[in-house]
Order: sequence, then structure tokens, then C-alpha cells
Amino acid sequence: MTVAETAPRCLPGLDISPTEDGYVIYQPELDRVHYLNHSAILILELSTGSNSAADIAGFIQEAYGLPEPPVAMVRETIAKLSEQKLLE
Amino acid sequence: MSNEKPGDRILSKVDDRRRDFVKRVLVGAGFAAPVIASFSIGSLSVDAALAQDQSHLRVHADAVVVSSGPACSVSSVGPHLPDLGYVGPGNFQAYVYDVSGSTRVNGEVSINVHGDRTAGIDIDMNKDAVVTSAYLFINGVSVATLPIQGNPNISISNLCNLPDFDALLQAMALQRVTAVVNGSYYGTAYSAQGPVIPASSGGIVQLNP
Repeated sequence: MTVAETAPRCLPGLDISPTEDGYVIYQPELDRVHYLNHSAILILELSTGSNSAADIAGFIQEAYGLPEPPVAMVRETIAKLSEQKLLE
Repeated sequence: MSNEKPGDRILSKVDDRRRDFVKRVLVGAGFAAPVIASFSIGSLSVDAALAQDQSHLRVHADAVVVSSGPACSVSSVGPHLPDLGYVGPGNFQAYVYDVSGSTRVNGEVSINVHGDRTAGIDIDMNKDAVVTSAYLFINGVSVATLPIQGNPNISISNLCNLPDFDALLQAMALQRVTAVVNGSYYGTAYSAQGPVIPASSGGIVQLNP
């Protein structure tokens, strides 16, 4: 079972800094710096451990009035966030 | 009848302490394809990059090179390479951070390309952080000196180790450029560095050969 099929949880204590066009997260302990746009940061914030990828896609559809829930996009983003060790 | 607004339910699904932050994210822009770009902090270090192969830059060593300050080591002038022009993002940004860890200085360098092959530079660092110099590097080699006072634009006269202005734009579009801002913060020297990436706002610029 992949992380997108469960309820992903954002790594606690991430230092998220807004920039003019997105957000930056530094992980000096992992020697990594990440740039995320607002959509990616929203998916990260909704990864509370209680929401599945399908739930998150549904919330985004509702909040932005999208015709369909962006399920594939959310799953792909969660996989990448997990790969970059931004999710538990 | 419920008075719940469309954004209210999504806010109820995030951590209580993060709601104000998420509210600002929601009102900032419409939903777009998520973008995640990750880099090694070590690879952004100029010292680390200097250890890498610089042969791709030596190709241009006999091309037009304009000396523009202490970070530019090549000052000879040679024949122009064919101008390929440029089509790509018109706005770039770098979020720079003191990679030495001596201070927590950070900030942003914004680069806005103009149609006349110049670019406006805006360096915005922490309050009280003094900026003494700023450069653009490719693999540890300085390719541009950025203005820190006076005219905020750069042009070919600010470049070195590159054949022309379009080459800098192409390198930024390919995310091969690192911005470096040096200065002091309450007496402690810092060197804030970060990758130059296309900004999500701003259109496409086309510069014909």
C-alpha cells in the first residue's frame, strides 16, 4: 500500500517560509531545500494523518470549485512529498 | 441554511494552528498544478561547486567576456558566438539562505527580464542584514555581478564567462544558476545562496537572435 492510499502525515516541525511565488522548506539535517508552489503546500498542509489522497482531492475541488477532484494530481504530489521525506 | 463558505470545510481539515497560514494560501491564487523542486543544500555552496568540472564554461573562454568586478576572473575579449536568441520565462527568483549556518540571514533575489536584454534586480534580505556584494554563479564560476545600489538593472556589461546575455537567460531557465548574496549581520559575515528558478508569475519572453 502506498502512502497516497493511506492517510499521509506531514513531517512535524517543518520550517515553511513564504516567498514571493511559493514556499521554501529547509531540512539542513537532510541537506535538502525544497521549493513548493501554493498548490503543493496546500496538499502538504492537508496531510494531517486523517485525510486520504481522495479526501484531499475532494476538499480542493470544493474549495476551488473545480469540476472534478484532482485525485491523480494529489496522489502524484503525495508520492513526491513522501519521496522527498516531507511526509512521515 | 448553512453559512459555510467553500473554503471553510478545507480549513476544518487542517491542524488548528495552521489555519491562518492555509487561509492565506487559499486566497493567494487559484489551484494550479503542484510544483515541488528539491535541491541539495551542499550543491548550492559555491565552494562545493568550484570542485566540479568547469569544462562547459571553458568552451566560452575565447568568446566575448567582460570583466565586471572581483568575482569575474576572465577579462579577455574575443569573437562573438552565434546568437541563438532566447524564448523562456521572463521572471526568475532565488530564495537565498546562509548555508554556512553562521547566521539565519535569508531573503530573495528577483530577476525580471526586459525586452532590451537587460534585467531588473531586486535583492530583499532580512531587516538589518547588510548586503556588500551579490553574484550569479554557474558551477562555482561567477557569471554576473549584481548591482546592490544605484541602477538595479544588469546587462551584458555585468556578465563574465558567458558569450552573451541570452546564455545567462538559458542557464537560468535550465536552473543551472545559483544566486549568492554576501554581507554582514550584526558584525557576523554571511553568504546566502540559493538556486535561481523560474518564477510562477510572469509571462514568456522572446528575444530574437
